[in-house]
Amino acid sequence: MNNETTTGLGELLRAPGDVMGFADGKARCWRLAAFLAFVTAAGCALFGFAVGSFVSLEVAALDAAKMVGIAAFSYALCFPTLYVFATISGSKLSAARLAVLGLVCTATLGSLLAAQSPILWLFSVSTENAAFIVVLSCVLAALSLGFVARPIAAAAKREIVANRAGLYVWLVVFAVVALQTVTLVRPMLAPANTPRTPEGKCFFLMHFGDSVGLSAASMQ
Amino acid sequence: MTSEKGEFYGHLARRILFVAAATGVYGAVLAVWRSPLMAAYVAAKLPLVFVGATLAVSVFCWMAGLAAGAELRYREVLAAVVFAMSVAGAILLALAPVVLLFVFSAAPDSAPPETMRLAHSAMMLAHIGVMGSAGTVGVALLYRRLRRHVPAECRLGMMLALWLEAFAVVGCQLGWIMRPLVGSPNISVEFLRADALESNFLESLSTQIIPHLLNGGVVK
Repeated sequence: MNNETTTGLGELLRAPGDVMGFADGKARCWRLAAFLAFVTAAGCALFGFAVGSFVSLEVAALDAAKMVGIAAFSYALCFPTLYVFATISGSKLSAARLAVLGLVCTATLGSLLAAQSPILWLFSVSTENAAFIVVLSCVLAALSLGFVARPIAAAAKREIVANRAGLYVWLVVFAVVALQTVTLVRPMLAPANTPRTPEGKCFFLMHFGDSVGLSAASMQ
Repeated sequence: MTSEKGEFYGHLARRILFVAAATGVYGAVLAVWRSPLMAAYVAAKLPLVFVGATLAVSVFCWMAGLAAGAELRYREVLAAVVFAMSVAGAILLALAPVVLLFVFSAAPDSAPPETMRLAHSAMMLAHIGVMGSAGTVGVALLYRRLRRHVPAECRLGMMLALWLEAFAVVGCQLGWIMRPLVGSPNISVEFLRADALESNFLESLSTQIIPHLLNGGVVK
């Protein structure tokens, strides 16, 4: 395999800055974007499957699809933020190459989510406490999100951006949007036909608080 | 010389138009939770707040610049403050889809009056935070840009702190006069309030909004 035209999961985790370097030509840029989008989707699907395994196989499949949707929707919604914040931070990249930079971040997140899915799955199938699964999922997702600091640092090191602050702010916005989108597609830890509680609009902090509080109360 | 001047003012006008368009979009998103009519009103009013504040503080900024030893001409100061506002406008434009997600998925349509009032206060503070942060980033970028153009002995930090303070005070008060912006749920939709010129922002922040939030939405 020619190392100049191929990039793999190992490369993504080991040297994210090198992966960004692959996005030079237009054709290679699209190929790389497709690969990174696939890694993101696969990682999110595995994580969603592990979350939904708490309820049943059917919900696991549904949650896998929901997680892919959540990642795609959040990324699309936050792309303008990425473009503006990266540009403010000194980036001179085109929108297409910035999309690749964002996908390097989400693919790193997806890889880490995939890596932690077996752990989450083990707890999902062996516990009855929904509050614990909610908290564990959030902790593992936050841990994965922390690893996205590496590609951001690599972008600063390769002088793609002059400082990291803008990209960190983007990452926070992305996380908040993803949490709100999870709330939008609730419930994730209930059988498929369960009505949404609460019905209608709901802020994510309220939803997660209620999920943990109600589940903990039902255990007592 | 005349063509240079024409080019300068053409560039300035384009930037002001951009600020007006960007803040118009953000204004529409900000108020759409109340009604489409309210969104249209705020789309027209928020650009007036931003552009009005920029123009209103420009003379003070020029004088503060002279006092700080910046040796900038008025038109240079005007270009600088419009630059800061266009950065803020770009940030607000980028965040508009994110805010829209929260408006459509978290802001309550109908709830008990106390809940609606709490939601309104929380949204107002969130929007003030977002707009304030966008303005601060604009001024921070301006600091980097101006550093190259002012004499070494100029107290640039102090000068920009004064500019920021002037922007904040004038912007908040103009916003206060242009109420309703977020749209209080207990007051009917209108373009301007009858008591628009009867109070000020700082007074309301300290006597109504902050105490209301600290009491968890309970009116004493």
